[in-house]
Amino acid sequence: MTDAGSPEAEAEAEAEAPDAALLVAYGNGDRQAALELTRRHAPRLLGYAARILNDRAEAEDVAQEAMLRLWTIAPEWRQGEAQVSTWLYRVVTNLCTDRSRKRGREAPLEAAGDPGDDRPSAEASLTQAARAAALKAALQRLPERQRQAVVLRHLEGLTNPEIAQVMDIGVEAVESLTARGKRALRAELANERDALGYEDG
Amino acid sequence: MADDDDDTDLNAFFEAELEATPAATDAFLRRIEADAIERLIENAEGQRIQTPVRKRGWLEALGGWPVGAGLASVAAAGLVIGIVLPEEAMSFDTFGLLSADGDLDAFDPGYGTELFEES
Repeated sequence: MTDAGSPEAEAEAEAEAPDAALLVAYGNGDRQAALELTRRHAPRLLGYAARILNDRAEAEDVAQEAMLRLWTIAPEWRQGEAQVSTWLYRVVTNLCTDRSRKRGREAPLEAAGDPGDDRPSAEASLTQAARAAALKAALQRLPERQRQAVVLRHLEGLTNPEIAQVMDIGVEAVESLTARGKRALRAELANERDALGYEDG
Repeated sequence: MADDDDDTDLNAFFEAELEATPAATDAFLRRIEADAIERLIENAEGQRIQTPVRKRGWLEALGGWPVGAGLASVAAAGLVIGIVLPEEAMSFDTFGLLSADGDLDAFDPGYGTELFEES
């Protein structure tokens, strides 16, 4: 516990400042608020974009562009209309979709080819890295909207209503996308689970 | 096969992927912070550029361009009167009301009462 007014207490209060308050402070010229917002959001956005695009360099570009749009909109930001994190996820989602379309990267599951092409070998499959690689490969074979919904729900930890806002769809559509996505992942990972020693729950 | 609501079979994969989340490098974070500062400077410069525009607000304070046009018309009319009729314009008794030749009887409170006295 820290004394009120002490540097530690001030630091704690600052650390707990809501995103919207930090954004307003940034809009009023507070550089420290920008640093704090960057620390809070940029790494998560990078992870999300990397999972959707499967390309680190592109993911960095997308995350940076999303943050730049946040800096741009800061002076007009209206508190209470949206959560900063949800708004950022939505921008990243749209930017990823744009990039995927431009590159023609979107590949539906049934057109993805042999699922085993880039799976890790059975010898290396008992490592966490192998599991992560297997999931990553399976995710890339999902249709993009299913991939976005599954990643937002199970890796980014968003609630279904939050995902609905990010993807600009209804909650029922989110539930449908995540259910279909997970069903497809199970099919993709069935052999992996056997190789990795997992059993169906 | 697990049902759709039971993620037990997938959780190990999700957890492994979370552990493998790529870390943000310092260079990446610095680029974002540099963007933030650059945008702050641009916003501040934009406000300074807009300042002279705000000085035009005196016309709005008077009531806008219709009032300004009316004021200009009145000023022009005054100028014309001053040029075309300089003597009359400069004379205090413009219409001769106060001149010796003028009939001031109408301003006499006792005007006309003599008629009653005679009768």
